Formats: sequence, structure tokens, C-alpha cells
Amino acid sequence: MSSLNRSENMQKHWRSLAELEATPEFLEKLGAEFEAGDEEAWTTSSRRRFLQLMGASVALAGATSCTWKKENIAPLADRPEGWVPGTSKTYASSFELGGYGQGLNITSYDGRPVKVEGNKLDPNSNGATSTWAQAAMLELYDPDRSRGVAQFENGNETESDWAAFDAWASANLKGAGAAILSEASASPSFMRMKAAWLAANPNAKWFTYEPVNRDNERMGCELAFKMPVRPDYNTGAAKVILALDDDLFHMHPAALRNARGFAKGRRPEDGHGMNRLWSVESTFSPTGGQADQRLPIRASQIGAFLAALEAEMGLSQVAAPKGGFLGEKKSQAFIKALAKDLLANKGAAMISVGPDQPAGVHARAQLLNVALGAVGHTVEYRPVELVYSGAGEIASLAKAVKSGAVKSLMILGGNPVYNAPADADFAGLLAELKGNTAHLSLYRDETSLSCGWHVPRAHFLEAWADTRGWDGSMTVAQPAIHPLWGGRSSIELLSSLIGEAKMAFTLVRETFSESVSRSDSAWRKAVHDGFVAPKAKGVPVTAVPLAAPQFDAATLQGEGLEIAFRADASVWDGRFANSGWLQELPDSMTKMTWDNALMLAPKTAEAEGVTTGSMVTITTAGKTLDAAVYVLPGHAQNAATLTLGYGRTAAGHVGGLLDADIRDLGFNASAIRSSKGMSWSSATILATGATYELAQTQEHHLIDQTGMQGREQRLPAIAREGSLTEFNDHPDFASHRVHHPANVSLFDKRLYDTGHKWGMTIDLATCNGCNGCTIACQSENNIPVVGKEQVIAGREMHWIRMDRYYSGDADDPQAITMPVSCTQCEMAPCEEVCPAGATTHSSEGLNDMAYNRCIGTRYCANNCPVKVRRFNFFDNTEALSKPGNETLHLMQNPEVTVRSRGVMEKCTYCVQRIHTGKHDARNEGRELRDGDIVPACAQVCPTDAIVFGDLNDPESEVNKMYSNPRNYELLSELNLQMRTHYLARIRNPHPDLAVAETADHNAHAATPEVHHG
Amino acid sequence: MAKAELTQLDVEAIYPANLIEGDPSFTQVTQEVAGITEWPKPPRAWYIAFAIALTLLGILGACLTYLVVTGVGVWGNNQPVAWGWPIVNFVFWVGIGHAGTLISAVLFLFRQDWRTSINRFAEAMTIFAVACAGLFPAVHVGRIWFAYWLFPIPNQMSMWPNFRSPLLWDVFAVSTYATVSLLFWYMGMIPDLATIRDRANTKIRRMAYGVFSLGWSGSNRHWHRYERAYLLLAALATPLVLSVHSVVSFDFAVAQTPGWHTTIFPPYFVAGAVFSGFAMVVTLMVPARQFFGLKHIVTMRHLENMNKVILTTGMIVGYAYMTEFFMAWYSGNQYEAFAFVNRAFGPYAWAYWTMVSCNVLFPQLFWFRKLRRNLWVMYPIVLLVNVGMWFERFVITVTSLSRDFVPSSWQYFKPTAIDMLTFLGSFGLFATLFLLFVRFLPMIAVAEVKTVLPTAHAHGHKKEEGE
Amino acid sequence: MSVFHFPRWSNIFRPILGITSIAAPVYLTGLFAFGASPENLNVGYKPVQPVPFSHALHAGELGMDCRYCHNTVQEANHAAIPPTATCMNCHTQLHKESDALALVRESAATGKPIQWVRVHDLPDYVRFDHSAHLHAGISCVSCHGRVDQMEVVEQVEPLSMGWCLDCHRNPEPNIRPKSEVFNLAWQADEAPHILGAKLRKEYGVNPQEDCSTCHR
Repeated sequence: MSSLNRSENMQKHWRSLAELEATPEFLEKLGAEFEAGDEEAWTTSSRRRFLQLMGASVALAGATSCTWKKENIAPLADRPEGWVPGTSKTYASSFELGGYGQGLNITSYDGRPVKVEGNKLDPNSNGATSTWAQAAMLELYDPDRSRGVAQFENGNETESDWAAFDAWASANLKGAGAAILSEASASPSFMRMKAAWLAANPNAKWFTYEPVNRDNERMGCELAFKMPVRPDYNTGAAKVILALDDDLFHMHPAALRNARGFAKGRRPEDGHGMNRLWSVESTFSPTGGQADQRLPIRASQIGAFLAALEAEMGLSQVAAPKGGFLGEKKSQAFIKALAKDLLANKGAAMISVGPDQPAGVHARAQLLNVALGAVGHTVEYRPVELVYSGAGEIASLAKAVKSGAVKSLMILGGNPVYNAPADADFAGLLAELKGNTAHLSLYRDETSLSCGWHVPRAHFLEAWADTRGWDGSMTVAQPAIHPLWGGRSSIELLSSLIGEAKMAFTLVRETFSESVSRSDSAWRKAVHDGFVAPKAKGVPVTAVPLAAPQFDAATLQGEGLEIAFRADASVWDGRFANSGWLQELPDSMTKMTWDNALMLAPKTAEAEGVTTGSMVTITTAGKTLDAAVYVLPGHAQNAATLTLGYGRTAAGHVGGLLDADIRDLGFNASAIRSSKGMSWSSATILATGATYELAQTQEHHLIDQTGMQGREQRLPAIAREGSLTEFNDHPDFASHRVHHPANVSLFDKRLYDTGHKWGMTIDLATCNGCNGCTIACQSENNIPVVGKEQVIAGREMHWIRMDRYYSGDADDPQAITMPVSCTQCEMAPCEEVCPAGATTHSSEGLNDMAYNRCIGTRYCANNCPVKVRRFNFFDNTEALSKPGNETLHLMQNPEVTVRSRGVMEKCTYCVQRIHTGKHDARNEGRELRDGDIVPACAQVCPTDAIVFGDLNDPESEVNKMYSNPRNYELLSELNLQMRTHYLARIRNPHPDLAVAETADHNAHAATPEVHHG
Repeated sequence: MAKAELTQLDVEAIYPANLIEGDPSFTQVTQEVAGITEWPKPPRAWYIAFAIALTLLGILGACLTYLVVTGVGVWGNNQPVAWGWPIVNFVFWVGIGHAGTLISAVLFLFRQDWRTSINRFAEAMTIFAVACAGLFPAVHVGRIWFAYWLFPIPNQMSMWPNFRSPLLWDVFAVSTYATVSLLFWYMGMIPDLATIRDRANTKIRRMAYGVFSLGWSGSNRHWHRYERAYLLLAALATPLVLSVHSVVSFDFAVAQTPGWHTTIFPPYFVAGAVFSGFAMVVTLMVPARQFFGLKHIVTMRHLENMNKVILTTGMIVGYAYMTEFFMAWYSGNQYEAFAFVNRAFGPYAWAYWTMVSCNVLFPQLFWFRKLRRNLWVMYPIVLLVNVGMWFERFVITVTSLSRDFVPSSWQYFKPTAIDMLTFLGSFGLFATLFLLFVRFLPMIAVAEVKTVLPTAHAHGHKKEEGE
Repeated sequence: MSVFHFPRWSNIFRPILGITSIAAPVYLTGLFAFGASPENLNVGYKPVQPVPFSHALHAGELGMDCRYCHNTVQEANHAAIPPTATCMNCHTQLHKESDALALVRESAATGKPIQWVRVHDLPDYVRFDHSAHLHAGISCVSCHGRVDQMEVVEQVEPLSMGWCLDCHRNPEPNIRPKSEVFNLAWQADEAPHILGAKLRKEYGVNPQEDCSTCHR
């Protein structure tokens, strides 16, 4: 692999370790690859079905004839005012995850919500959404959701009803001995109802548990400032950002806002300079992938790193820890440069710390923020409403149960039987209460099965609610649909427990009157906007000096193996385990679907004698777990990361359901996560000799030497990037990455100079690979889920593929993400070869796809140079026609044809939205404006990396992007005339650390006939 | 032409005496060929072979039923290898279907008399191979029930198929080829069918052969028209030999996938097709002449001639392989260059080198007269050529697709059991048809063979009443 | 044994066979292409509705505007089938006891919808926008015929793709002044295609033939 170490002005990319290192295992596997596949390999994951609602609702009658089936039209007996059948309406709502809210807009057709969008008015969302919020749609309609009250005895289920539960609750959940264990929630109404319940039952107890929480951060702030606050970053104002083990742009409650602010400083042509992101972390997070400088160290070493940095900066009298990793040249240079950079940018620098770091690290980092003058500029401190929700709460509950202080327990949401610390034996705890337990939940999950009662919860799209955003803003959430299965929201349940039994609307309205405004118009505005800005900007803080931290040699040396537990980017703490969309969403860095795995650095894996797919037994504090290994380049040495949320045994038919013989997915980190080591703990791993097949969307197969070289040669031209210096010298360097003779075509060029000419640009500088576009597209376009086996077979259906390439050293590589969907080539190779004429060019330059004309020769897919066409190898809609899955029909976007088997599909720039936009403009008698039409991917993008518009409109944003110097066309030598262009990524390495780069753009000057792609 | 002016070699080449061994009489030839269809029972080997063929045919039926019911996903096709084994098999069978028409038409026009012993056989093989070939493109589409949209039929959608698509050209090329080949084969068979009719001793045989011999009486007028029609059809069929596989090659050459997009494909495909077709003729001929006692009609000289064609076309194919590599390098196109390096040294190198050794290396043994006349040498070689030519199509189709422009989409292709069984099943279809052919139809063109018998050219007109 | 030869009389089959072999494929193709076309299968489709609602009476004799019932037609894709409440606007007063209206009264009382039978049924993968056509000056009558003269609504046009394209390629004969769109009885004073050409320019009608115009 010596070629990888060559210093060239073009970076060399490679995609996976298997390619980079020809290990004997993989060479052996290469030899044995021509083996029979499994012809029966497809699963029954969530499926879609053809459905389009016309008029009001349609009942398909059974009569068949030579023509279409006889259809009935059943108009509403009484149509509400302003209700236009078949058109969409949008409602403001909000979504709470781990106690923090985020504003949403819900698009609804004929009373059925079909799409989640961000709320533009809410700065925490700013029109973008997280992948989890997008997937709420599937959760709402999930056929596995609980459909009624049930009683459980020794795991045997008896159907029951709300009346019976209410009777039980009023007898048992009262007074002393009653307790509630809830999820974390900062919802004002929830807080109010909690207070009301505690007031009604003064001797009762309340516990809160959230397996992924930010307690450490709050404790750290309390240490530093002696008050309960949390840091709220303004990444947009920061010139230098240091992220310490923090996935600031993905896993943070304000990730969307953080990413957006950060992106502001990534477009060098804007003229206000570029910011610089420093990332010091154990695993390779997408935020680390965005970093200009990155240092992989173990999670437990972050504190020592911070202390060394502090000493280097000379802001406090801390003695610098010495030895271990800090003695290495690389870390020393890194710390030196970083300190210099931070000091040079006082007032415009910020340090963020990941929630898994101990309170002490948070405290010191926040004090450093104060010292750097960040407060009021890049950091503000907000009061915290949330209560602690860590492992300690479970311990207190256990104590109370054991002492007999708690005799009956109501669990509001959450799934502690599955995700409480391994040493808590939560199921055993519930058993001690002998059935005097109840669980409010969307699913009959592991906890429900261990409780005496299960009561169905109303989905957040089914009930009025309010939440509080990271910045302290309040959101008001309207329901978009009646509860499908008669569930209650947590505030409704609490209300019934105190004997009021008020509706959620009343409760939320009351809270609003009490805490915000009594005025009706203020309420109406809040409901309309979905958002009420926080009253104060931030609270002033006073720094409290801390004692100097001590670090032992073992920490600095990084002895032994350390395993860190993290929330999963797909299923979070396991609550989204039954979402086929999220399960099949490839992880930003690993490109893994349907599983988690123990992530190890290449060298560590080598030392342990394992590689991707090897099974190992992990042992921590006496608990063991068998898990598969994934070798992640850029992971810290002698460290491992395992994400939470997998190994669910009662998630549902997608995420694992033991009762129905459906295997669990991935590996349950909770089994080895103890209350003392919720963030990380020392561990040993031992290869079992077994292997496990992981389903990745990018490294489907192993790459040999030949493939490596071919890739190395062409990748600089595909995902183009350069340094800021290079950009300053040659702003249009990207278009000079490829030179080729003039393109000549046999066909006349169609001009598209009248009417609309749709185009798109994707900015690689601001794309952070968050996957938002992929899942928004899936939701918008009724894209099916195919299941793990089909992903392994290479038949995933995502219309937007998030390519991720590594470059450089395997121990500390750089990563670049590149979303690729149909580029709508004007000279589309797919169109020429389709014998049926199913894919043709529209007058506006779209590469139309008429699904119902497609006969599935797949010739177009062969001839597509970017390989963005997706084929329905099976009937991916099959499961929808199964009884019990009817709710999934409601989820389908009626504007988009649901594809049958044997049909090719692909992105068409959300042509349904284009037509709706044109339709609306025409019916309103006006011209279409730039920004009227936003495809789902562009809408969800938190950093506005995707821009869509009319190229014939000289003022359009996309036209400006086209004339951006970083603009380039992929594979321009093929003369495809793609409508989607990319903007090259610019890195801003610190001058002291930057590798000397030789800019050489004169090579082509000798040949006069070269064209730039 | 006076004989005195001919050299010994010329005599050997044109003098028919050497073509058929043993100087049989017309009656004997008739008896030997037509008699096969009259045997009360075929040899035991026929029964065994037929049982195997029917089993494979059953497997094919089961696989196709499963395919239609479930979807194309039963095969190993994926993204980016959207075309897998079905298309490989299609091209493989079309290629095999080349020898028949070449032998019947081209060699006829070139007055190559040695063709008479093998042409019927080769034509039959062509038709059955084309039937197998036609099967694959039909079933490989995602929605088989709409495959008729490929035909330009007026319809309520006011839509034509896309005439720019090579797949559509395929539809026309292959169906034309199948039609003409079938006509050619059938027309050539009419006199022989009449012979069998005339020899029939049961009513059913008489009626069956009678209907299909279309009232042939062997009159001078019939013969005259027959010869004219035969010549015309041969002239019509000759360009088809070139066109059909050229058009099939367009499926690849017109696409822009690296490794496909080359101008060399049409001649390269045609040569390869002739190559594989002859190999298949030899493959089938060797056992057939053995079991049906036709060794003196299909002589070692015939086999040798075919082996010479195999050697020649094999070297053309080998030359094409080299040219591809040269052009990939010479073009300076990095994608094209990579496609070929990847073929030879990438994950499919095993397939590539299988192809090269089977198609280029082993046939070199045919340089030696002894070896090309030795059944025990030629048979393994022609079998290897069949294997090699399948792999050629596999290499072209799969390696090119598995790694094209954007590396993030690269993927290794793995066939499924259904892929393999379907391919195996297509041999069942082929063998079933073939076995029925050798059982019920004259597998040697009796009338034509007679024209090359010494008796037909003997001094004067030593006529025998054969019929 | 006598040799089987075709008897002389069988010569008559020769031309028959010859003609059949050529004519049969043509005939079958023709049968398939035209016999199974929507023109022949769909036109005249006239299902029995659960309530014997007469357009001839309401729209024709009483002269009610189309939009009284189909009130979303100008703003939406769908020309909504009216809710029961629309019927009851009048029928709480008129024909209160009529047997024919029993279902309507029942629906109004229970809130359960009346199960009308769809007459003009496009495939689900086709999107048709009523409002767009009305704004282009295409009258109801172009597709639905003289509904105001129909006792029972029936399909008068094939609604096939070819039929749609015919008009998209040559819209002029079907364009009329926007004011007359709902006047089913309207006749142009001049040749429709000449007027249509003028109006087309005026209204900026530019019908598209892209696949995505109707299929998404």
C-alpha cells in the first residue's frame, strides 16, 4: 500500500480496510467467492402497496372485469369547511427525543399524515429534521404497534380494556407505595402533570430513566457554575470549534442547528473566511469526518487531553499531564497548534464535549469556554428543566422496591427491562412487584411483557403535546390524526391517574395559559407556528475554580481495551428498532444496515486477530456478550465502540420478536453496560472463531489490489476536494481535476432554453453525511425496505446513496461523504437503451420514469454511469396486502406511484412536488418563484447543501451555485450533461499541521484542446 | 474442368469420393439414414439421454414458474450487475445457433460439399439453440406479462417501442434469424421427409410424414424449384449469419459501460459464435454418429474440417482478446483500461483465464493433424470450447458491470442455485428437442449426401432406384 | 402400400393456408390492439348507482351549475363527489319522504358515506388535474360528454392514454372561453379549432407530453 502514502496534490481515496490491507482472510475469501447465493433470501420487512386515495376514501370492490376493478367512491357525509379532498395540509407539530424537542411540520392528505418536515420557524429545526423525526411516519403506522390494553401474567397475555386498567390504577397507583418511572421529558405539560400527580400522592415516588442522557453535562456545568445550566452553542459565530468526543452535528439535541451554523463557515467563496473544526474522539463520528484536524484517542483520555491543552494555553495553573499518548509527537503538535488556534480566536472559539464524558471534563471545558470569551458569542448557558435520569435513578428505584417503599409501579414509556444497566436486573425488580406494574408504551416490548399491565400509548402525531427545545423554546404539537389504536399520551395517563381524565388538548392549553399567555391569539399563533421563542437569551454564569485533575499512567498509556457505549445513529437507544427505514439506513461512517457491531481500530483488530465480521466474546465486569467486529478506520487504538439499541427481542416483526420466531438484530450492548460503566468500561475480547455477515451498502464485496488501484486513480475526480490554500490560489481548482478532449455528440443538443430547466447542486463542503436526505426521500417517494439479506445481495432501494470515501492513513484517515442520486443527464444513457420507452426526457430536462411502462429489462441500470437506478427484484409491496398491515397503506404518499415488482425506479427531483408547485402557481395566476419547489432531500438538509431550482431563472439560487468556482460535473468526460452538479469540498487544515501541498495546474497548459470537467 | 489439370490436393478437396467412406449406394444411404427413424426402438443410450433431458426440462419449467411467480430476484442479479446469467446464457445460446446457418448457407454458397453430411444436423442444432436463446431475454425481464410491448403493435397508449434501443434490434434480429433458419431447415428436409413417407409402413407414419413433406413427388419440376428456393434461402440466410450476432453485440457495444463500448464487438461476436457453434456441432456429432452407425457418412474428414474451422475462429477470437487490450491501452481511457486490467487481474481473473485457456490455448492442439483426427483429443477440446465460450459471455457481461465508473457501487456478483438450475434446464430443452430430432427426423440430408456420392458423379449415369 | 400424397381436392387449402398464415397474425394483432382498447371496453360504461341521482334533472332541467356539487373542481385535482350534506341542503325540504332518497337520509343521519360507483376511473398511476384543464379552457363536456342530458351517468370517451395524447397534441378544438367551460350546451360561433388557436395563445395553453405530466 505504499501508493497510499504518496504525497500528491490529489488525495487518494479508498473505501474500506479490506481494500487497504490484503489480509490473508480476505484473500482467502476472494478465492471462495463464486459460491451459490441464497435464492430464498428476502425478508418480510415493512412493505408498501399501491394506493391512491381519490375523492375522500376509496373502497376497492371485488368485482373484476376486463377493465379496472369496480371502485366505489365514498365521500364524507359532511365535509368540513375548507377541506379539499386530495390536497395536502401542513400542521405544526414537534418531536421529543431523550427529553429534547424539535419543531416539525406534518403534511397530511385527507386526514392521514404522510410526511414529516422541519418547522422553518423553529431555529432548532429551521426546516430540517433528523432521521428519527422522518421515520416517525413509519412508527405511527407500524402494524406492530400495540392495539389495546393487555394484562400479562408470566408472559401470558390477556386482552383487557382501559376501564379495567383505570380501576386497577385507581386502586393501586395511589399514595405511599406507588411509584412512577418515566422517560426524560422537559415538556411543560408533562412537568405540570408530574407535579400534579406528586401533589395528589405526596408519599409516592417518581423516578426518571433515560439510557442516553446528558446528565454529565449538567453535572459538569453545576461543578463549573454552581447552577443547573447547559451550554447552547452558536456554531455559526465560531471560527474555531473543538469537539471533544462529541458528535455535535448528529447526536446532539441541537444537531441540526449546530450543523447549520457550522456550514456557514464552510463556503470559502462567501468571503467571510472559513472556520476550523478540531475533533478529538474515540470512534470516527460523522462530525469527525467533517473535521479539519482530528485526533483519535480513547474516550477516557479526553480529560487528560483537555488538561494538556489547558496547560499549553496557559489560561490556568494546571500542570500538564505527561507521558502516554501525550508524549507522542503527533498529539504534541496537535495540542500546540490547537492551543494557538483557540487563543488566536478568543471570542470566536468554542469547545463542546460529548455527553459520555464525565462531569469533570465538561466542567473544565466550560470553564475554558469562559476563559476564551466564548460566553455570549459562541456559547450561551440555558437553564435546565430536566431532572437527572441516569443509572442512579434505577438504583434508587431498586432500593425502594427492595425496602418495600414501592409496591406498585407505573412505567411511562421507555423500555428499562431492555436498556437498564445490566447489573440492575430490572426484570427481576419488576417480578418482585408481582404484577403490580404497568407500562405505557407504543409497543408491547420487553418491559410490557414483564409488567402486569400494558397500556397503549398515543403516538406523538396522535395527541396534543408540548416540548422544550435545547435552546429553551417551547413547541406546541398538534395531532395530525386520531389515535389509531385508542392510546393515551403520557400526560393524558397522568391526568387519569389523578382522577381528572382530561384530554391532552385541555392539558396543553392549560399549561400554555399558565406558563406562556392567557391570550387566545397567542395560543392560536403558537399552534400555528408550533413554536414559542424562549423568554431569555441565556443566563449569566460565574466560573467556580476547580481542583486540578489527576490522571494515572494507565489512562495516559491507554492500557487494555476500553469499550465505549454510544447511542446508535439508526435506532438511538433501541426505541426505533422496529423501524425498517432506520434499520436499513446505512450508517454514515460504517455503511452498515440492520446491525450494530463492535467497532475497532485496524491495528487493534489486527492485534486481537479479528477482522470485519469476526465474532468475539466481549467481557466487562463479569458480563459477556458475543458480537461481530467491524473494523473502523480512524477509531482510537485499543478502544472499541458498541452502539446501543440492538438485540431487541420484543421490538416487532422488523426489529426482532422472539415470540414470532423473528431473530433479534445486532448485539445488545445493554447486556454488558453496567451502572458503573454507562459510558465506557474496560473490557476484554476474545475471538470465537465464528463469523457473522454484516449488511453494508458500500463495501458489499472485498476489493483486491487491482480494484484499489483503479479506484485510487479515479476517486480524486469523483469526490473532489482541496485545501483552503489551494482554493485561494485557484478557486476553480475543482474543474481542473479532470481534463479531457472536447465532447462531441452525434445527436443535436437540445437546448431547454424556454420554460423551466431544473437543476440541482450538492455542496460537498457542507454535506456532513447525516442521511437526512436519504430517509426524507424514502418517506416522500414510497421507497420500500428490502431487508438485510437483500442489502447483502446488493438490492437496496434508496434513491439517494450516501457515498463515503476515506483517504490517507488507515489509523487516522479523512472521510468525505457524497450523496448521489439520479443526476438527470441531458444526454441520458439510460433513455437511449430502454426498449419500452419507459424512461424519457421531459421538456424541462427531467429524466422521467414512467413506472407503469417499465417492463424491467434493467438495461438502463447497466448503462447508468452513476448507478443510481433501483430495481424491484421482488414484490416489495407484498407484505402490505397481508391482513393486519392495513395501516401501512395510509402512509403512502398519494402523489407518487407505488412501484410493483419488476420495475425500475429512481429519483426524478421529486417531480410530484415540481408539478404541485407549478399547479399552485398557475391556479393562483402567478409566476413560479425560486424556492416554491423544494425536493424532499433539499428540504430536509440541515446545511442547505442541496439546492434545487430553475436554471433558466438567472436569479435562482441554483444558478448562483452553478457559477460557484467550486462547481463541477461528475464524469464530465462522458458528455452526459448532468443537471446535478457538485461543489468541491474545501478543508481548512491548520497551517502548522497541514501537509505540504504542491499545487500543479499547469500540466494541461500544453494541450490547447482540453476541456474542464 | 478436365481432371488432368487438377493437382492431387484439388482432387482431394473436391472429389466427393473421399467424403463418404465405403462407397455406399444410394439405397444404402437411404436405408442407413431414414432407417434410423424406422428402428422399432432407439438405442438404450437414447432412452437414458432422453430421461435426463426430460428431467432437466422439468427443472427448467420449475425454475421458470418460480421465477414468474416470485420475481427476478431469484437470480443473483443485483446493482450494479443488473444483467447476470440470463443474458450470459442468451448470448451463449445465440452463438451456438450460428454454426447451422453458416454450414447450410455460407458453405453451400461456397460449394463446400463436405457440408452435406453435417448441415441437417447443424441446422437442427441452430434452431434448438435459438429456441433456448429466445427463452432467456423473454424471461429475464421484470414484468414478463408486458414483454409484448417490445413489439410495435398499435395500442391504446399511442406508444411505439423505442427504436433506438439495441434490445429492440435484438427482438427483430433474433426473430428474423429464427424464422429463416427454421424455414431453411424445413425446406431442406422436404425431400427426405418424402423418402421416409414413401418407406412408411404404418398409416400414422405415412400421414405424419406425408403432411410434412407437402406432397413432394420428386418430379423434375419439384427438384428444380427446390434447388432454386434453396439457393435463394441460402443467399438470404447468409447475411443473417453476420447480422444476428452483430446485433446481439450491439446490446453491449452501444452501451457506454467500460468493457462493452468497443467497435470490435460485431466481428468478434460473429467469430466467437461460429467458433462455439462448430464446437457444439462436433460435441453432438461425435456421439450421434457413434450411436446411429453413421461413421462412414460423417467421416473423420468432416470432423477434421470442423476442427480446422474451430482452430481458425478460435484464433480470431484470441486476436480479438488481444485487440481489446491493445485498444483499452491505446485509447488512453482510464475506465476502459481499468475494465480490462480488472478482467485479467481483478476478482474475476479466474473466469477470464478460464476463457482464454479454453478458447485460445487448447484449440491450438488442432494444429496437429493427428490430434484433430483423434476423437479422444477433439472431444475434450470442443467441450472446453463450449465452456470457454460461456465464460467469454460471462466475462463480458459480469466483469464489466461489476466495476464501472463510480467505485462506491462496485459489487461482486454471485449466482444463485436458480441461476445454475435454469441454465442447466436450458440444456434440457435443447437436448429434448435434439433427441426427438434424431429419433424422428432424418439427421443427415440424404438427398444432398447422395449428390456427393461417387455414384452421382460416376462416369455416365449409373442410376439406381433409391426411392 | 400406397404412398400418401395430397389428393387433388386438397389444393383448395393452399391459398387458404397461404392467406391465413399472413392474415392470422394481422387479425390477431388487430383484435388485440383494437378489440381490447378502452374505446371498446370502457365507452358506454353505465353502472347502477345506489341512489338514482339524475344529472339530466339537476344539471339539465334545473340548470344547477356543475360546481354546486363538484365544488373543488377549480382548485384541486379532484372534482370532489359532494358530501351527503350537499344533497340535504335541498332535500331536507324537497321530497323529504321519497323512497329514492332513503339512502341519502340514512347517510345524513348516520354520517356513513354513500357508496357511489366510480364511472370515470383512471388507473392509479395516472394523475389527472381537473383544475389545470379548466384553467386552460377545457370544458367538462370534452371528457364527460353531455352529463346534463344523462339520466344515469355513463362514460362517453375512452379515457385511454392515446385519447389523452390526441388532445395534448392538438388541443385547439377543445379550448373554449373560460366563461363557457361549465356551459355544456355551448357551441362556438366560429370553427372550434380557429377559436381554440386564438384562445390557446391568450391563455398560454401549452399541454405537455412528458411522461411525468401524468405519471409520477
